[in-house]
Amino acid sequence: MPGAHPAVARAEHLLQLGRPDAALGLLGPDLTQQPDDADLLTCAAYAYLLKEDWGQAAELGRRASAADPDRDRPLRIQASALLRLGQVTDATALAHRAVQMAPDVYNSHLLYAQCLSGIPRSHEHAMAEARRSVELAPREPSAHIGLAQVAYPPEKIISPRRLDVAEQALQRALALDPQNSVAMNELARVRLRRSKRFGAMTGFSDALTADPQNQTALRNTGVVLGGFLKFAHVLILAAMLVSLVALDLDAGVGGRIAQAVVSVGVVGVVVWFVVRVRMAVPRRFQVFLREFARRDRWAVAWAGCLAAAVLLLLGALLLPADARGDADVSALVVVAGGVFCRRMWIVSRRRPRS
Amino acid sequence: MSNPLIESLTRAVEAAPGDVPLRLHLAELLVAAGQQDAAITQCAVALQHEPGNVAARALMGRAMAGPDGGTSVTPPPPEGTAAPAAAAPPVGPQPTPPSDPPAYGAPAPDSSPVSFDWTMAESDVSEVAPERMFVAGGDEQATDVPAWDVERTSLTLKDVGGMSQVKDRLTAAFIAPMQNPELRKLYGKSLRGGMLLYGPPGCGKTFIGRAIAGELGAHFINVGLADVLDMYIGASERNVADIFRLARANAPVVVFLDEVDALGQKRSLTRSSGMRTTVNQLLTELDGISGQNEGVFVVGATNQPWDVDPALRRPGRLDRTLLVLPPDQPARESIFRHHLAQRPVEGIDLGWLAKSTDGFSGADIAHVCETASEKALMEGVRTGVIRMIQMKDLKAALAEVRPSTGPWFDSARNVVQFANEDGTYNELRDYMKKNRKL
Ligand SMILES: Nc1ncnc2c1ncn2[C@@H]1O[C@H](COP(=O)(O)OP(=O)(O)OP(=O)(O)O)[C@@H](O)[C@H]1O
Ligand SMILES: [Mg+2]
Repeated sequence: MPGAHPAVARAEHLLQLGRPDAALGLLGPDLTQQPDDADLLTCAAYAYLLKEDWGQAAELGRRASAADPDRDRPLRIQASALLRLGQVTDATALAHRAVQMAPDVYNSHLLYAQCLSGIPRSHEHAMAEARRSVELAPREPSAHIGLAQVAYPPEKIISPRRLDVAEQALQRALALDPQNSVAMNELARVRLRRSKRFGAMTGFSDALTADPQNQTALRNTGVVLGGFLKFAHVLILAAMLVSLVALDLDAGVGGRIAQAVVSVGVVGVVVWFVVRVRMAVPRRFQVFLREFARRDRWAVAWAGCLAAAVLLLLGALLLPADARGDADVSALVVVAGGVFCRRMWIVSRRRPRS
Repeated sequence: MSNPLIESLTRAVEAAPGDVPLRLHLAELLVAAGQQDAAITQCAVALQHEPGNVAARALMGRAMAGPDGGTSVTPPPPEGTAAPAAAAPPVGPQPTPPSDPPAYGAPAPDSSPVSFDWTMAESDVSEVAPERMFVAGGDEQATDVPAWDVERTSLTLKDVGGMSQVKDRLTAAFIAPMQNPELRKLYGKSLRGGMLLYGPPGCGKTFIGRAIAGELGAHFINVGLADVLDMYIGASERNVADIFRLARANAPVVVFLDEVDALGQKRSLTRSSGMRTTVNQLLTELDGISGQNEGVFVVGATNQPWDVDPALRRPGRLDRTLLVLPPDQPARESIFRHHLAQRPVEGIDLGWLAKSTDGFSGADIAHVCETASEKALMEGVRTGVIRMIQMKDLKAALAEVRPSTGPWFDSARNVVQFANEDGTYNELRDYMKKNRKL
């Protein structure tokens, strides 16, 4: 344990202060002298984990375990790193060993649960481990958040019952730590899954207030906005088809009235959406739009095409009947929209992240 | 680099560029790992710091001899025959003085390659360049065991190139009132408290802190707060008290609290009681500023003002903030001058350099100069003809070094967008808008 080495004690302290580079600088000279010291290796492995250098973290964790096979911490570090590298099976085996070695450490159970939730057909097992970790550390927000993430893993479609479990766990985490940005993001994710889009937008925005550096929450606002674009796309496409069919059936006044109703309806819905989102995130709507545009240039082009389509719909209304060229333009836009559908499909397939 | 030990040591060397033994240790490891080129570079830099270092030279020789250490890259000419004209002369410095004194802005003398005495050149240069007395502000080792040195500094605001806005604000908000006891009496308690400098890394906060001390004719105590915290766990409270006791004994003094964000509220440790008592101790010491802290000026610095414990920023504490942005053009020129003054250079166009380094921090510029001199030296080592640092080296270095302030502005952007409801960071926001970073 830290203490045997003065360098390790200081480095651990630096790590708690969030300064892994300084810690590694401190450990370096000692590590060259004692390349097989388990304390030094474990501490360095953890530093790499904080630096998100998973490869080095896994390697040093492995060496630390080799130097002293009776420790659980290097196993956890190595398993976390491997999990991030996508080597789920190896990570699970290591996490399992860590659990066996120290059955009372909530971290080990949590990690094991996270590993298991990446393995098909082991959801029940994962939930049991996550629950065990909450039992061991009921006052630890991260345990509750972990349980929620196992109940509702990102990139997965799940049953409403599991959403309830996740939501309750997140509410417990937030009761313990009301400013926990990660928990806020997760809760907003649950809301989005329940199709409460505006509420989810507010939630992601609140997560950013709690921690402006929460990039995941920022990215997730883009997922919500992408969903809105998709909705608008479908709406506009439908409106165009309807007005094409209407004009086909009745090129006279009746067709034009139908077209007018549909077009104005579309514009109304889009405006209502924008107003609602603005209300959901006061003063931040433009910031989120800008960030969304910065992250996804395609989405900008997509939104531009949708806007052009709306203008064409309205333009066709205002033009005299003989100048419309039998709605050729609208048909063209429908084709262009079809091209963008593919892009839409890619953007809208994105799910909010943890 | 696959070896984590080498990587760690590299980082340590980067943190303490002047630590020659450490660098040589790294070079030794690199030789052992078969990375001869990297080892040669390290030796070359070590030789730059200590041109006479015998061990460095020997190691360089070994590195240049190749992985097996047996054969030499350029076999010596056979006994008795004269070396062909094209053959490289010996690599070691020759005691020939440079034919032309290095000059700024002057065209490069069209000289044939000359052997060059680094030591001589350095002493030559130092005579033309009075800036040599500048103390490098960025050289302190963050991870060294702190000893709370009380420094005397000859640096003043005049030495801070450019940045007239910062200087004006410093003078108005801090230096003038502090220098003028009448004013202080007049305003009484409202002059309590210190100043918090914030901005991207390597842009001169520590440097300005020193200049403030020089300007006030005060001593300077540089305290890395992360070091206070990490030194002896549990003893950091006492450390804080010690620092202020030392400061009072040396008044007038500027206590420079670097990395005040280490006491941040958001860091996990703050919630533990140990950190809280340290913060409280610091608050007690700061609150003493009006009475027993006569002549103790506290200047805090941080890269992450948003992590600083709000209690530290209340009135009477570090209540005035000053944004220190990447150096403007005149500042960059003076930084280049400072860093090149200690090196053998010729034909340097400082104006061009300053113009082409928009967005670079002071530390980036130092890195450019370092890289350029490495290039010149390496070429010398390769060809056997040691030459001075020229514009082409600096241009090549410029192509490699990118401004390091990008990540800082990325996180600053988030803060300005999502945590500036009270307008604390309006100055930063305006700068970022103007420079299209928002
Ligand atoms: N205006 C300036 N005039 C002259 N030199 C400057 C100026 N600004 C910065 N420098 C140079 O830049 C170097 C780096 O500055 P300094 O170490 O003070 O940055 P810092 O903001 O304290 O960085 P950090 O956040 O990493 O502690 C200094 O050594 C100094 O030589
Ligand atoms: Mg500094």
